Amino acid sequence: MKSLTTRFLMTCAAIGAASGVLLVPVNHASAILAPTVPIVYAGLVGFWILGPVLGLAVLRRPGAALLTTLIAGLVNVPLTPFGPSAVVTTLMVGVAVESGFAVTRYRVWKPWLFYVTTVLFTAVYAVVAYASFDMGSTVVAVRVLFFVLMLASATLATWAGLALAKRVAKTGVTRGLVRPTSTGA
Amino acid sequence: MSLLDLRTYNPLSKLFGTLPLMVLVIGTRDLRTPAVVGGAALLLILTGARPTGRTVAWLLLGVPAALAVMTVSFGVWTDPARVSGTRLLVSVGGFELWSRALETGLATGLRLVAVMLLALVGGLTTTGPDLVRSMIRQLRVPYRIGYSALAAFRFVPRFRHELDVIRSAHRVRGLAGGGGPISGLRRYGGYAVPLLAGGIRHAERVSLAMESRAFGAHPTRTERYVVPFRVRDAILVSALWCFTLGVFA
Amino acid sequence: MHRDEDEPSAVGRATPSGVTFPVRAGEAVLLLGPSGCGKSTLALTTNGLVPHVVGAELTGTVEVGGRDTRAHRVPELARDVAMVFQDPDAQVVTATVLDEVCFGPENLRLPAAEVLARAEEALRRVGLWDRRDDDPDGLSGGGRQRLAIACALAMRAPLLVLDEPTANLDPAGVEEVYAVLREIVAAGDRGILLVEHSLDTAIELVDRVVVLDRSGRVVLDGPARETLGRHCDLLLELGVWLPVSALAALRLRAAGVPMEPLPLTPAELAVALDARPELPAPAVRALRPPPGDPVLVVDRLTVERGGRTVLHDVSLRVGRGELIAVVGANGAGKTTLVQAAAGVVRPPRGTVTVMGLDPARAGARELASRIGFVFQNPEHQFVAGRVDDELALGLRLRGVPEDEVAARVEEVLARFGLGESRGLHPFLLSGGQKRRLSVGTAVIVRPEVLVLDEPTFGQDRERATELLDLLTGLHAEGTTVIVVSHDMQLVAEHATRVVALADGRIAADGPPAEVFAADLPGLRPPPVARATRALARHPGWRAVTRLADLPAAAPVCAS
Ligand SMILES: Nc1ncnc2c1ncn2[C@@H]1O[C@H](COP(=O)(O)OP(=O)(O)OP(=O)(O)O)[C@@H](O)[C@H]1O
Ligand SMILES: Nc1ncnc2c1ncn2[C@@H]1O[C@H](COP(=O)(O)OP(=O)(O)OP(=O)(O)O)[C@@H](O)[C@H]1O
Ligand SMILES: [Mg+2]
Ligand SMILES: [Mg+2]
Repeated sequence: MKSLTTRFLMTCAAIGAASGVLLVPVNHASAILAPTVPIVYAGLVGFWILGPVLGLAVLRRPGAALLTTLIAGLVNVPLTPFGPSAVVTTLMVGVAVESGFAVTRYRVWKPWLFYVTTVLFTAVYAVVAYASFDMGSTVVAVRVLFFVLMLASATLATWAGLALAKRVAKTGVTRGLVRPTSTGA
Repeated sequence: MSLLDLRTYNPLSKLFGTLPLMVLVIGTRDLRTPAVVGGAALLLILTGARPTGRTVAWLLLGVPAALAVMTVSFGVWTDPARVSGTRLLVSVGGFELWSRALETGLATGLRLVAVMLLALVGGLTTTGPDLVRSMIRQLRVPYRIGYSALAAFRFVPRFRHELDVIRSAHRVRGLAGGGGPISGLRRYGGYAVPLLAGGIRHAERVSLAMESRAFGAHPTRTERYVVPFRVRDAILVSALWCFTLGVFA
Repeated sequence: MHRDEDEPSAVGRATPSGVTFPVRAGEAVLLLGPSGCGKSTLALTTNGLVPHVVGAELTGTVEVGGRDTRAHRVPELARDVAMVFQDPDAQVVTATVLDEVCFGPENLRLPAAEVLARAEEALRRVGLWDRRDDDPDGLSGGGRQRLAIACALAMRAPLLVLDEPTANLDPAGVEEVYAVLREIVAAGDRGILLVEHSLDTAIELVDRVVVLDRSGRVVLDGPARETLGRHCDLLLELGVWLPVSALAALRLRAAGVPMEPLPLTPAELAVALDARPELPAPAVRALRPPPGDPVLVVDRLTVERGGRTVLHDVSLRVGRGELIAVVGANGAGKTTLVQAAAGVVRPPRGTVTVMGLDPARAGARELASRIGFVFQNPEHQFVAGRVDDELALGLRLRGVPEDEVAARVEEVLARFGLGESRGLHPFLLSGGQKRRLSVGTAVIVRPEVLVLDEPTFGQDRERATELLDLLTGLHAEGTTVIVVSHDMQLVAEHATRVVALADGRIAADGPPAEVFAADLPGLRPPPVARATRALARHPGWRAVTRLADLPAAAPVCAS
């Protein structure tokens, strides 16, 4: 609790709100796409990953991904009809992204860890989604495409999150907020 | 009457009441289970959520329409090798639609519709601030985290407005044009940096103002709005869990 | 409450440094000093935000209510010091006015009944009790700042610290806030520490001034009027802005008109002038050449926003070489008008012509090389990672050859004093530099017309004047300039023509002296005009609105 300064919390809230707003149209779109063309839905998973990657990469502090996704989900409660369950979804992503860094005890902030974490998580999620969409009964090409799209989308989102974090860091607004760690990334 | 109004229930009771159903229904493959669950959720919404006329229309027209679309679309994706033993319904060019494929499609559609309807039970009857308040009170989420979430609700309209301004500011500089997806992505990257930088700076200022007003002085704070967890909430959760057991056990 | 030897040092330099002064209950202290001398930093030390939250080194002690700020966390000190910041938007946490005021007392774990009692008292004092159920966003800027003051009052802290509480407000909002502050001072139950750039209104309020110099040391500390009256030369030298009325009086003194004691408000200036049996004739403003051929024509423009007509049938002809100020109350439609004129928001076809081009049809780039638009917040317009790339961007987009790009960038860097910062990220510039850069990005493509929407918003007088001087320079070289502003004195000093909007219609249009002579609702004339309008003895002086109109050539007012 000590490290959770109000400034840190509010910065997570800002990043969370921004990424949450991004998720509003995605939530609506996925409600339509998931049932009709699940393949396209697979390409949307990146949008859920962008927020926590950005939060962690900008702030480099424990809890950043979790808080960012909690707030991104909450912001969706009044804006989409799916309400509290949106929070469950985003928190799940937050826990996943956060876990990679918790396992390395928040010592490593290199890009590879971001990629490894998000790709691993997406792979696991893909298996679950595979079951829920009953992809097992589809044509092989579709099955392959499903996995490829999901992983590509996650990788792209991680790249975008890292690139954006770098540009935000250059603006100097996070001075005095980011813990002075090794200058990886 | 208010006993029948789901909006008077604790947000968490609706969330945790429906959560096991959502998880379990994803694992089903038959037609009956998701149909029963989805039907129950729809009934719950129509009776307890006090939906507006528009929402009712959306639900009553949307659910069958979605089911129909999904049945066909999933049917189309289905591997013909697995279903070729069943009845052939349509054959257009080299393309064939088998009855078994449609059945698989319908099952998948029912499953997704059921999950969505379950999400709507909480979604249509819960406000964001109430959810946050009950997270603080019942889930023991530290109030400092909860209140940053409450403040975040105020960031949303601000960010939307900022985004509009940034967009026209960039257009005025002659940055518009280039309709391709790559240039579109780049453009949004260009909007994101000032938006985030401005947002983070705003967040910092708000945090200074909050601390100046004793935010975080004590481990707890006075709450003037209490979102209670009452007997009715316990009953709702047990009822939903019993229903879950009844359907899946 | 008092402060000792407090010395928070920003990297390298210690500002403020070696400051010692007490603030007592019932006393209103004004903290003055040039920009960057550490006034804000000092304000932040009073409740421990420096050094606990904002990184800085603090030597010496700051004690509030007998407690050392370093030994207590910020939220704990909130019982003793309440703070109001500059940006009214950045102080709102909850969804209604009432909840907002309750937020602080709730954090103190007071019983709910007590919380409500405090909130009611505070809201009644600032006149917002009737609007307690409203969303704070629905209040005007002045209203939101009054809300912030109510929040501070509800903490019942004996010391109230305000850091430029009116810098982001229009004149009407400034009046509202000062009316509230006057009442608080009159009640005499709290000590007030006020940081304020614009002295014209603040001076009536305070008992004492403390002046810091550039290095952050206390150079003056004494009763407000005497200190300002006696040490005005020192203050001018330090770069502290005196009230406009005092500047006017100093100018008159230099012209041989005795002004004792130094008037500090328009009313006092009027009295001092009327006390003289005779005054030298005011310096008649040199007539400018009549405006050239029209570069911007607005013809019966009507704009609807959100189902409401925001502009009614507005027509306007802007001649080449004019410097037009668009003024008016909040919501009068100023932004809507200039944005439509510059094609930021597409106007209806045929209503606007910019040098023969209709913004309703023209492409953004083509339009931008004729009419440049500078937004209120410079950061919104920045896209590149370096200052020089930022300037070059507009030219590169237009396919200007690289060697010419380099030459023009050099020229603008030198002219706008940005040469040393060329390699920096635009966001890392100071506020004034950002503003100059954003003007630079617009003028580098050499538009005929330059439009600026509230470029002086939230800036101190020094930076505002610097910017207006820059615009006057561009104007002298032939650029037509249209600027939206709330700062009436600046408008009066620099504009060749003032267009006053009221409720979406043009209420007045003419030279500044003429427009300010008419009584327009929601428009507060600049201080000099307010003083001269009240004159009984010198009718010839009633048209004087500018410092430059006063009969003096002495270099007293170094603007
Ligand atoms: N967070 C910071 N990090 C480093 N230096 C800072 C920081 N904040 C302020 N400074 C520096 O400290 C000095 C004092 O700044 P401060 O904002 O207190 O001045 P000020 O008198 O309030 O100026 P202004 O009139 O422009 O508001 C300045 O030189 C400023 O550049
Ligand atoms: N997008 C919009 N939707 C609805 N109403 C709007 C919109 N934009 C502006 N308005 C309304 O139009 C009116 C004029 O707005 P405008 O921004 O032009 O005023 P302004 O004179 O620039 O005020 P200010 O001094 O506050 O900047 C206001 O009452 C505003 O509420
Ligand atoms: Mg300051
Ligand atoms: Mg405006």
